[in-house]
Amino acid sequence: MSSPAPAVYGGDEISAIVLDPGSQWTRAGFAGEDSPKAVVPTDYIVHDPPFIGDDYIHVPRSGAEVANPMADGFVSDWDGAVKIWDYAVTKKLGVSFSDHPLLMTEPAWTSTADRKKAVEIAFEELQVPAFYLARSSVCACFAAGKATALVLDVGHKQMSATPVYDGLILKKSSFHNGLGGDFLSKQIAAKLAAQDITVTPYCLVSRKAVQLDPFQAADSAVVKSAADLGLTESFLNLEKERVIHEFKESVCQVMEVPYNEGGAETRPPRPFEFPDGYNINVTTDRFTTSEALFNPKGYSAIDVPKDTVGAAKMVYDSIMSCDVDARANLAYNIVITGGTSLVQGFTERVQQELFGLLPGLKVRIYAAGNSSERKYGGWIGGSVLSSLGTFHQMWISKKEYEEAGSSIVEKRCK
Amino acid sequence: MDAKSIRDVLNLPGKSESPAAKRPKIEGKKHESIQRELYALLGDNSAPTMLQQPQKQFKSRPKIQRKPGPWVWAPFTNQARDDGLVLHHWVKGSAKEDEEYSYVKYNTKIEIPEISQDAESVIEQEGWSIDETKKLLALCSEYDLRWVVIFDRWTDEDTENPRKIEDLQERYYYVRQKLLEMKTTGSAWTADQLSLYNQLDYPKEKEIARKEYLEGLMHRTPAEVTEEEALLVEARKLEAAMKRMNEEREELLRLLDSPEAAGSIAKYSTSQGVTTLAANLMQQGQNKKKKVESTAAPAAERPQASVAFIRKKISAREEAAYGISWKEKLHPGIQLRSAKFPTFKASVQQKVNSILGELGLPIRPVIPTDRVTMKFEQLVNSIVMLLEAKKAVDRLNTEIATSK
Repeated sequence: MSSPAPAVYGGDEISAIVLDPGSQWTRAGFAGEDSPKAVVPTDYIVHDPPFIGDDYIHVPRSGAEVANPMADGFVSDWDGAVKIWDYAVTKKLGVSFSDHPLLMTEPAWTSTADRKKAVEIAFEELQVPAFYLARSSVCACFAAGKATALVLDVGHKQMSATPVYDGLILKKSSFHNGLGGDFLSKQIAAKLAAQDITVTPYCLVSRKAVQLDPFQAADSAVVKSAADLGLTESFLNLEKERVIHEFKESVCQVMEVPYNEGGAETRPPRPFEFPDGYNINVTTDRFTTSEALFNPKGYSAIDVPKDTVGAAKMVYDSIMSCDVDARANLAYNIVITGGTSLVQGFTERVQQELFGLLPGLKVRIYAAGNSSERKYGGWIGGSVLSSLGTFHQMWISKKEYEEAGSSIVEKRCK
Repeated sequence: MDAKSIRDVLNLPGKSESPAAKRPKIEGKKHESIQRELYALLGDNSAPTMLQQPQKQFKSRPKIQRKPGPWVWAPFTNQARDDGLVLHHWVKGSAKEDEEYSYVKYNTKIEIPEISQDAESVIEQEGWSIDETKKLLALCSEYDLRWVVIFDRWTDEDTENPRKIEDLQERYYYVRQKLLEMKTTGSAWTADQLSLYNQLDYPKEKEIARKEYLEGLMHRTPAEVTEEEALLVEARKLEAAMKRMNEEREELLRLLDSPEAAGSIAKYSTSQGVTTLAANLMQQGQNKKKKVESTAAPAAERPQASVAFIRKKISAREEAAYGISWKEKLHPGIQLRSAKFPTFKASVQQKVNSILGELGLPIRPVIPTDRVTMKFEQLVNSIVMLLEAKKAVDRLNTEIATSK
């Protein structure tokens, strides 16, 4: 029998709302809970009022344009973002912003102007009584139960490596690039296009072709014309991306060692069926697509900026740019979070490469085994943080905002 | 086994005298649940009736007299804040007013001295302006001397030669020392102040050297790391061997210094004891003599007549060819000659085998003729002897090395 855990819980619930806006999903829920109650797609249909939420955005409507309010990991279109947040909190959680303190997460690289804007929106528009802007990497660190760690966050639009030291990020050693889930989807789309495979979204398939052999044309499928339905390009892209996302989840894999043709050919291929019934056996392509996360120069099918480095190299760069005294601790506490890190074999590959890159340091990787813990790492950490008794002195109150203005965010949310 | 046999075994009086002769009559009405034969075996003893306890289906509802404690959604203020923000949390019982928030006690801060007007001249140092120093102290206070973070948030005035983390540390500790000196001028230093002053000493060169060394450690190749680890293991082994040897030596020296009697001599202090001792010694002497005689006896014995007869018939060449020998002691039964190869402890045998391998010889001779067996035995024995000699030499060498 194991002895009972020491009583370190310093919790004091004040019923705060935790909001973790991501490029693909916006997560909202109450502090102290172990997973977000409302997970809403960040895409919305431009309309008055806009269509928001999984149940509404995928309905094919003539002329409906899809918009995403996020850019480079943080909000760019505040009106759209506020509407999504409002939907998540008032509709899905069923509470009002004005009754609960709000903790929001942000990436490590947001500009001061964006942060000030966030505070203004929170107090002016959402009317929250108290507000805090927490770094999502710090939150992921807390979700893993650590105060010092190197957080590798592989999200939808970005991949970032951020060292966290005693709950504070080190900005000079933080790196991020565009390798994420969206990048993988684009890879796959490019590879499929190169093989002359058209991806027909579900909304256009009336009846799919049945009992087809692999690579046999799906002529018998009944497919509607997008032009007849009046569907826009952005909507079709959103729907196609859903199919590719499914492809990514069911087929893609990272090899444990750097990609080699011989090794990949010995692995059994994986079948995948498209919505129209066309199906293929994916062989080495399922490794080469995700290999680009580690070797973007060698394997990316789409153009990437020249200085883009792979996941393990980014972690290495981040560790090596820190002070030599902090490195051992960071290498021993590497937290991997974000939905794209769930690609099969990802964490093993990071570990394997880091063993080679950092032979002089002890490398230990912490990656939650549970997929929802991995996806919602930032939210869970925010939930932990905002239910700590010692944290309640950190909130920016409405009164403080009125006295000091939005610049208080730089002083309080370090 | 039927009921009667059981009765016999247990010495119980029989039910009736005759039924043994008869085939046990299967009687009684047919049971549906058990076979009739089985029922007959049970005899008249019917199985005990199972008493069905009426079981309660659920745990009874606990009888709780007291009322559930009231929890209230109470407002509270945090004394660590100066804006009087009112937040709400659940408290048991009624909300207590004017009570300090229980987490305020964790709101601690490191004391960082401020630079006063008079101090500005004292802390002058080349390359540092007062404003920059104030900025540094503010960061130190904000991040509670977490140097890694302070360095991360530090922005350089002079972007041409950015400051290193050691520069910041050196400046901070220099300022602290100077301020302390200023505070204590004219009065004697207390022990606390002196120890604080010494603690604030920052050896910058040493720190840089230390970090360079750490950096070097970090940049070793995997091969170097494994080699270093192997060397460490080797070194530890040598240390352990040396320690063992020293212990053995000490033990030996101790023994040499004061030979202790193995047993008590009290029992020989009486005249009777001495007599017994003498008798024992004599007995031992006699036994020895007898042994010598008994071993000498067979050699003196003449070979039997039959042996002499066979010997006459076969020549020495034939003897060798058939592998007949006269001198060795034989065990009854048939044996293979190869069974006579000498064997050793597993550890020694392993070494012998490896040396045989080096010589290009099989571990066991393929055709063990008499001559081959003999030669092989000689060879193996000399190998073992050499091994022992080598071990002794090694040991002496280490002893010489340690005594130097």
